[in-house]
Amino acid sequence: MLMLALLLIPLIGAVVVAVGGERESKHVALGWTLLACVAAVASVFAFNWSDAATAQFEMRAPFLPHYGINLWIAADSVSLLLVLLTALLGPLCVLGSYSSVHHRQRLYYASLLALQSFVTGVFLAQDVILFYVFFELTLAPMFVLIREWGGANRKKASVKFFLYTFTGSILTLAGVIYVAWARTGLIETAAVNAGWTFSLEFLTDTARFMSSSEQTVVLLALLAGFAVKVPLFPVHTWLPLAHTEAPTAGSVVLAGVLLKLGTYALYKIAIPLAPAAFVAFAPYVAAVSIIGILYAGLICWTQRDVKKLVAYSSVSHLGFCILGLVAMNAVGVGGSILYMINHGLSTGALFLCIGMIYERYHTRDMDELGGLASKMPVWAFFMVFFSLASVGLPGLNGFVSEFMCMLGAFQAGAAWGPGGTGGVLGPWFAAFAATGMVVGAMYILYMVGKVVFGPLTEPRGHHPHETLPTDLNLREITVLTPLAVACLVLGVYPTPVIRSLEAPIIEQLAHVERYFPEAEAVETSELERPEPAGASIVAAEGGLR
Amino acid sequence: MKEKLLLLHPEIALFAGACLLMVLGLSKSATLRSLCAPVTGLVILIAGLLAIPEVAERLGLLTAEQRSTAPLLLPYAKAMVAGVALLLLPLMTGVVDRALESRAVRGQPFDPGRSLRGEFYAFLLFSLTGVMLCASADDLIWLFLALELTSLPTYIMVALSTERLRSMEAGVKYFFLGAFGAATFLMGFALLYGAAGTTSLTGLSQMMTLGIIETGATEAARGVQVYELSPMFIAGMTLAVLGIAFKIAAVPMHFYAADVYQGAAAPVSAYLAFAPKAAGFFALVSLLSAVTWYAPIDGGATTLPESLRVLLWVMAALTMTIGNVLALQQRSAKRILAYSSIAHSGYMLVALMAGPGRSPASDGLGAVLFYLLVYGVSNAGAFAVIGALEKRNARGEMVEAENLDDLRGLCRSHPLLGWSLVISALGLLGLPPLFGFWGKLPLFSSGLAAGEIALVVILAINSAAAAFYYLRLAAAPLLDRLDDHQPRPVESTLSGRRVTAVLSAIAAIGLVAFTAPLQVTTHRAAEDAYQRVTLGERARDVIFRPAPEVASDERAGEPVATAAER
Amino acid sequence: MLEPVAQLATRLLSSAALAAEPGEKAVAHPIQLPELTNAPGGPSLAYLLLIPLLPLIGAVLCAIYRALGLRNKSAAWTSVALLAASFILSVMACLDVVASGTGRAIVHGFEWINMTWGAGEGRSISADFSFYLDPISGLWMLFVTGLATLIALYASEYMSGDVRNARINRFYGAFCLFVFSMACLVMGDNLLLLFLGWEGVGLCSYLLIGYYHDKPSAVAAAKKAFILNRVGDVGLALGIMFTFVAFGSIEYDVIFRKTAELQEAALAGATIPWFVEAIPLLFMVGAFGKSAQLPLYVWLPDAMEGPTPVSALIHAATMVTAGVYLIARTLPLFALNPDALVWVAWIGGLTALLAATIGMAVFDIKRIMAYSTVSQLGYMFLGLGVLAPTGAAYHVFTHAFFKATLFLACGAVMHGFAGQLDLRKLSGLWGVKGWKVVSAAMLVGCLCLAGVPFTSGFFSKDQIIAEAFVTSGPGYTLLGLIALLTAGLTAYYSFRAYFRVFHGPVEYHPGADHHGDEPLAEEEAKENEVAHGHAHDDRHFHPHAPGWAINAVLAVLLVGSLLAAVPYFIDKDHKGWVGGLVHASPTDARVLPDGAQVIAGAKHSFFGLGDPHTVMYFVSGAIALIGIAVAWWLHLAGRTSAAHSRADALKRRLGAIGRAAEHKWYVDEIYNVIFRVPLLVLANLFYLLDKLLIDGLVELFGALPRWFGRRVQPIQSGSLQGYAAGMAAGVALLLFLAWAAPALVVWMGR
Repeated sequence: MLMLALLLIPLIGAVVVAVGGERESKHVALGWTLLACVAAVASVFAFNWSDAATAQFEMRAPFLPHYGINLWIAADSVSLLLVLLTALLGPLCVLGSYSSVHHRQRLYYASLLALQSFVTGVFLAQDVILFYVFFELTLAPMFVLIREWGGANRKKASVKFFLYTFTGSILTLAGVIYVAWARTGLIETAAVNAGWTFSLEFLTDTARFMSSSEQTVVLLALLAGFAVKVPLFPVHTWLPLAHTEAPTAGSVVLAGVLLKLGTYALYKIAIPLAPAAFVAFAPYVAAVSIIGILYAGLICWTQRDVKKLVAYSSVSHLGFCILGLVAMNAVGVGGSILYMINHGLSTGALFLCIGMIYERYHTRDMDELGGLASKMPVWAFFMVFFSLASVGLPGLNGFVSEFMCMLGAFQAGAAWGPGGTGGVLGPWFAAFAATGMVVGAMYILYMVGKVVFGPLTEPRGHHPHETLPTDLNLREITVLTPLAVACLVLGVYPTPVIRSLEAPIIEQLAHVERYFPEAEAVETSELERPEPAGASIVAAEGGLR
Repeated sequence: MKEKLLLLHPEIALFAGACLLMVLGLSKSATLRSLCAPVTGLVILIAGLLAIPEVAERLGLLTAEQRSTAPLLLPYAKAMVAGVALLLLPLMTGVVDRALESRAVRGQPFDPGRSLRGEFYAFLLFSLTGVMLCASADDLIWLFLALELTSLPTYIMVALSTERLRSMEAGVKYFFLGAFGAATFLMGFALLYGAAGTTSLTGLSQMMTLGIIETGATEAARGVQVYELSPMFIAGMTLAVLGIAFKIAAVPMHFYAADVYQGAAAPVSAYLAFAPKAAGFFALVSLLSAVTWYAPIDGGATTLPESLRVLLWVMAALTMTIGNVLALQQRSAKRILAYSSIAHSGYMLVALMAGPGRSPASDGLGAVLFYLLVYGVSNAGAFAVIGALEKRNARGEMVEAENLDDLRGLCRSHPLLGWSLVISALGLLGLPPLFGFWGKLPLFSSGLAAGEIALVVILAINSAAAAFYYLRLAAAPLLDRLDDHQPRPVESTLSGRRVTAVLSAIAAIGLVAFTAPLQVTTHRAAEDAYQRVTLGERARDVIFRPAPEVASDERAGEPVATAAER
Repeated sequence: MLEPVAQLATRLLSSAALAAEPGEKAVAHPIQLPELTNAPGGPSLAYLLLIPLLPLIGAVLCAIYRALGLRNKSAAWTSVALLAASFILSVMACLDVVASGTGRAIVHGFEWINMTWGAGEGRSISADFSFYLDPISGLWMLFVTGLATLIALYASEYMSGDVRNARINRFYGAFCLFVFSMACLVMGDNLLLLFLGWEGVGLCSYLLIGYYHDKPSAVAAAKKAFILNRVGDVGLALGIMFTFVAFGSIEYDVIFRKTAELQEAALAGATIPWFVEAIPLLFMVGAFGKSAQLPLYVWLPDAMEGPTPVSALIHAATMVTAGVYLIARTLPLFALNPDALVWVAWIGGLTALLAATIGMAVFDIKRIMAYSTVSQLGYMFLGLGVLAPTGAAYHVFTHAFFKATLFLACGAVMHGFAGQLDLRKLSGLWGVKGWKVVSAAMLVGCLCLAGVPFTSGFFSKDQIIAEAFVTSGPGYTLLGLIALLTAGLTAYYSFRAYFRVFHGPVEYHPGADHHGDEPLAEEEAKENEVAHGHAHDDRHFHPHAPGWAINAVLAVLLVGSLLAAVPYFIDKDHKGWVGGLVHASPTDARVLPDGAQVIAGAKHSFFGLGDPHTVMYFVSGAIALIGIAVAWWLHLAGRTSAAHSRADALKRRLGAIGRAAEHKWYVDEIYNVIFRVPLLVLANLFYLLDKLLIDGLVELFGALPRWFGRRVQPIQSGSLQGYAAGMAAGVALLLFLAWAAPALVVWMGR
């Protein structure tokens, strides 16, 4: 029920705002997002953290019986945490847009609310088609946000964003359907109930009956959608454009939660649906993500536009996230999930800070901005704080996840030590990724040193903003403070979160562990090992026609 | 034969209505003349109701036994056609005779000789009759007549649709090319008769299953038998398919679509995009059922005969792709919709190739039948919005505001129309969770189930490419602004068009709730039609009563032996 | 979500209430230490938590002051008080630990990073905020907190110029945060907490170097320091990962226990696994970064951009010794891989020599001190490398005192002479009124630095050099000679600075800016003149003699530097009090895998003169005096002006070499060419690649359909005949296709 509330409150809010009055729309929107926050907090208390692995607050209603498609939402700790993140960012985005959005406010805030609802839906969906529906739905409001309130190049950016992700995810749909259909070929047994189904928990055991080649096809199809969303190295180019053009709140949501849809999908769907292929591909994915870390990091170093710099840094950061994920051990995946949250917090906050500067100076060009610390110390404090968080300074949130991701990659396959786990990566991956720490410091300090520190420079012909004070006003501080607190808390005392992640992760990893090279050593697999290609009964469907 | 007549009540009703309208349109009294549209609506409604066996039985037109054995395709097909026609009707009212009527209102004498109204509605009904007859066809001759009955009136409707020369031109083009198409599939039918010695589809399929037509087999790789059918049969089948491809505007018979749709008034284009397509796909379903997706002798291979498979494969791929890439170029909303209707035919061809399946999910034919409804609804909405907007052109006469730029900022100037266009466009794009998506889903699943992975990938990429122009269509009204210099389009005086637009937008959302029952219905209809053709009346009654219950588990009620041999 | 919070609360309360938790943490110490007992009678060490906590509170308070915009010295006094408190606590803690006779104490704060993914060792990782006090960490804490207190006091006067614009709060905030981080680094009971402190001190050093953030050079220096440290941190982080995988834990107790087992195995002839041998090599990298050794030392001289108290505390006394601490801490691991020790020794020795040569050439006295710091750190590494942890630790201890003294003296000069640091523009300060204390402090500092007999520096340095001759290693004798040479150079450059600045004719020219190295905006400069009444031009420039705070601190440190020699005579059988501490801690691991016992007193001979340890007293003492004599001859004797001395002639003779040395051997330039520029080129290349190739491909795929559309467009000519023809052609084509299909399929093999 709570989850349904989390899903519906923003949606209803969107409708209310859309039909409501233009002038008070922002306050109404704020109210609804705050309501969602209340629901989120309530769910935190209602959630039974002691068995975080089992999906709770379950609600399901059949939608297409013959497809086995259900409207089925539930939350384990992983999804709940991400939902919390979404709910937290909601009001901050609204509050952050108060002074930046002036025309068509109803549509703007309605889109924001709708977006929040859809993203929540993605995290809660237990049915792949339902997941896909929300996954696609998020495109529409984001498209509107970029297209209507974006920068100079917004049309191109919005269309590129939509088409790029849409193309990928349609292929994903095909892949998912393929799995569901391959399942219909299975023999009806006590363990497996054949027939069409898109419920995750039923689809997960299909993999055992799919040949590795089939799984490869499926994984490629899934990656087509998810890797673009993440975005992984070669398919990332839509992101900088979208970020630089999007309005501040748009960037916040984009970096904060929208990118996490990809990583979350990889964790939630790709791992169980094509485990063998996932294991087989892990080293390549890891390599690509490491390339992404360094490549994007170095590119950040050359940027002049602060926002673009942060956008590219997202690509670099999510490289770590994926690295931890493909490590496929508790530490790595746990770090990866933490990374989703932490990156959402710190990068979202950075975008907010940049937006505040943009509102005052109408430029994001580092050559025109400099040494703002001496003019707006409060802003400078937050900017430096969040920069340090995103550069992974111990004591702040970024470090915990970054280190766990790298440690996970290091452990994976390092069976020679007691601390090693099963997996297909190893020290070298961690070593290369670790150089990303230096690159990260390079570009972040480059930005901080230019914009925050150094002699004060302001764009020529700059006259102070009519409504906004020189330094941050109370509203803006209110926007940034919760994020700062969250960064600090998650950096100093992440243990409760990590512990709550243990159970679901271990459960999820059971899917892949039996495909590890040294799987014999790893004591899992009460299930029989996958049968050879012949055993996958793909022709069955036709065979009976 | 008698049994057939029993199932023809809707057609008969439509026909009678048409005759009535002929007279009604000529009446001196303006009020009577103005009754044409309502009467048409009434007739279509009656036909639609009569199409539903339960209703017919209630009215005593059918006995319970007859109802139980009545073919399942017909009710769905006819009801669906009637429904969409009803949706289109408000859009089509007032297409013709506006000048004449307004003059009559101003007191000038009414000149029956120049009135076209009666004809227009009558032809609409005739054409609808044709569509319904296609659904119930089980003989090549019947099929031919039905198809022609569908098309011939539309030629005239196009020509009548506006006073401007372009519609004349469009009508003529449509007529000649249509004649070409008709000739093509008539030739095909003839060859089929030559090959099989029968014009009955059932007979045809029995010839196939008994392997009489096929002349030998060669071993392809991996022990797959490739059967060589008699060249005459192949030629006949190919020509027939190609001829019918004209009705569904599939490559290579698609050329006319853009010009005709643009030339005709938007309402008529909307009708053209739907009715002949429906007729064509009904025809293809029954025709291909005759060829069967079974291999001629043993149950080995599971697709159409190679010739047809390859033929349809190529047609589907080309139709999708060409339709989409051409649509990308357009600035005229009508042309965009025209090309997109070509692309949609391509999508449906994928499912058609996939053929029947055991469950709604894997049943291509069912998917086609279902998609016709999905497409019809959203398509009507899009065209309706364009029809509902007028602007003054250079010569100062009111014309349809069909250019993309005219649609800018519609959501603010005319919220209802704007949002209907947005929803219809996204529906055609197949953005979940709109109705369009639930239409696309079976296309994908049946295609994959038939193992046509490559084709499905093409389908996916195409529907992604289509997003480009559908986004334009959706973004223009919602997000773009009208520049000041260009003339601001005004809403047409005919309120009916707005009604259609809004209704179809509502349908594009509301029908989602009925996806499950609709898909089950279409599946059963398709399965039934397929079995009628392939196994013939009696055999079917013996084997397939009770008809397999369709549940979420597709293998319910299936012999265990077959399950074991998997 | 709640119960962890509650758990945290209870943990904090309980740990504040009682001593180190009993149980699994208290395992037998690897080396001959008595069992750590937490008997009820045992001393309660819970207050250990307060040692880091108090500075943290201080930082928070300063932040609040900043938020309130306080424009007074409350930040200074708060910090001084809290730091003093934590110093006292450190003393108590050390006494308790020693008194308790148990080797060490572990006090649990709360959980930081904990994860469990199975049963058994290596199936869970736990890094908590819990603290580990043993003699070595105790030693470090003593001088860290002690010096921090003194320097905070010093800064209260030195930074008084910043009271006006409330920046002083920021200064003390970072200052306290630094002490907190240092405490975590030193007392953390696991490597990850050490890493937290490690990066934390890096951050504070970044913030404090860049304290005058409107000065580009300061910002650049801060950036340089942080990034170069990050390079080292990568090594440390990887080392930590290796440690976890190799030992299944990153907590010292477990690590030391297993290391001891490995040592015994090694003695029994087993080979050490490669992944254990990799650990010290990686730690080494981290240490080189933090302690400014070759090749990563270049950031330290630039770090002098920061306020002088910062240079004194962070970049001379404490932070830069973190690398030494890391190696000392994990010396048992190093003992398992002799190659690592050789690296440490040689890098240390070479760094010492190189830095000393630069120190001889540069004219900025603060830079001279910076390079001498690098050089002295080199000594410490050398000491560790030759397995003289006692010497290293002792040198860290003494160096902390006299180097702080030197820096603070320099700072006083800077403060007084408007940021003037060029030893060619200052002379004869002994003669100036009010500069006696500073001069005396400088003198003592230089004596210790030069290692003049019977000063603290003398004893600590000797142990190291002697050990170089004792320990058997590749070229260690040469290394020892290098160390001796460096000792001479050290004596020379330290007294060069001293003689130039404090003796000879009285002459001074003020520096560019007022108040330390703080550049002021115009109006600030004016009010500053009002405040202090000295003008820019030399004619009526009155040096601003240090006040009580500076003098007091200098006096204390002066005495401290002298007394630092005393511990050498305590606990003689362990070669000094520090030796005792080292001996009582796991650092005293001297078992090499080959089983060779390298223990002091194994009679090597210093070129046939006898036991190096005794010989060294005379040799190094003599060398130091020679260096001083040379300095006197070149820089004092017969010098008539501040600018010129006999050295100039020598410099002219040296020519290019001299210039090269003065330009720090062009190392920065070389690094720039070798690393930064190529990286920048690469980065721009990538950006180009991204825009053109990768995004270009995307755009291409996007454009493909439209291109195809344009190609197909012409067919839609609108002419009826064309259409008919097209249809006919299509029909024909497809007919053919249909006819050919079966053959086609067979041919394609389906």
